[in-house]
Amino acid sequence: MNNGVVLFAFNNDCIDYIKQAVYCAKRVKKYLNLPVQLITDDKNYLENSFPFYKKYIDIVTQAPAPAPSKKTFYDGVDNNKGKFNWKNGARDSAYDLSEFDQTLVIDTDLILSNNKLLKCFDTNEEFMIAKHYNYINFYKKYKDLDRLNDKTIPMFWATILYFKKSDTAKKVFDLVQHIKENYNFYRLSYDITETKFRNDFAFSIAVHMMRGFCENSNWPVSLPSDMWVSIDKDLLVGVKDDSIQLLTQKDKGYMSVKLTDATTHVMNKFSLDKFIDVEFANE
Amino acid sequence: MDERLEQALEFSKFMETHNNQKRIFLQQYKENLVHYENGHKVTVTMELLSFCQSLLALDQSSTVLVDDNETPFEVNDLSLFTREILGVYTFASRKYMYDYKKIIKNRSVKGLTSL
Repeated sequence: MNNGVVLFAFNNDCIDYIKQAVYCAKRVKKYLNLPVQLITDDKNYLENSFPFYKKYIDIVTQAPAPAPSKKTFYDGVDNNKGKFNWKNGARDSAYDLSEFDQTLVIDTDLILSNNKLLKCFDTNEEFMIAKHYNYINFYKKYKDLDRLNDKTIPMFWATILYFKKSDTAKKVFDLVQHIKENYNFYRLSYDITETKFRNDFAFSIAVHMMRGFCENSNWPVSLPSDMWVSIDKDLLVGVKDDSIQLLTQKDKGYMSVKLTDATTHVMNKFSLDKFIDVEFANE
Repeated sequence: MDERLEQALEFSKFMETHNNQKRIFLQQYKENLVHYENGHKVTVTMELLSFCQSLLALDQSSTVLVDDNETPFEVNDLSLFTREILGVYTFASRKYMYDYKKIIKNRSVKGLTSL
């Protein structure tokens, strides 16, 4: 039985997700030592811009980009970069496209700094998804990171998904596909005000439906890993081995934060991009 | 700005960062206390350790526990399991102490969070 990590990367006008994927794969190799499969719509760009990618990415699968929606991107507190295309709807194809029997799907903006996710492969679970998270700034709370909205269901994060090729996992992914195809109906049923499709929302709805339309359920069990979250109004300062320094939004300024040995989701793609440029200078 | 006010605000900023770092370490400590046994998630507590030690003292070699998801599971090698959870507890608490010592030594924001 083979295990591996799947990454999705579809570039838009302002963010190089493929670059992020190569960096993410580099850290997967370092901390998890697993094969990496990249699913992208632009294999040529990968090969031309990152000729060293084969050190970190084992399989490249060409797939059409999902239909884009518009999203506002930030680079820190006061820097609204404007609305850009966001191609976030391909995650439901992970089951069919994955070359592995047991698959870990992670966002390309996830910075791994430990090997805790390896424990996924030792469990008997067929499907797991991130639910618990820690925001890097304990003085602040973002309700929209906890629930789809005040009145409805808890949020699950498609940022980290694990599945075993199995009936249960297939049902989850098929249901997410159905939700995507009928997104407006489900969006209104679950009181989601945002019009753009989000993987996190689709998986949250699917989990809610499959656990018997209830909140109080032990399925799916929590992932055997931590997940620290920084939003796009926070800034990534740097990464050195397993330590990450960030600036987090505090009133109108920032507070400095250091995380060590922590799996960290960096939503500010612009500061991540700048950091990766420096990191790849010596490749 | 009045120098006294400036110094107080500087200290306030330091304390804010210090407290945030301490809470990060506490959260990591709690997460490091989690042990996985045959796919079952178990948070190691002093109570669990004492219970297992008590069973071993009574020459028991196996037991049934209830995991964090309220699912029962069998521990067939209690001695090995106890050694493992003792290791988890020792590692988590020592790491917490190590991290905490690093922040009490530093008296500036830069010292607390630089790489």
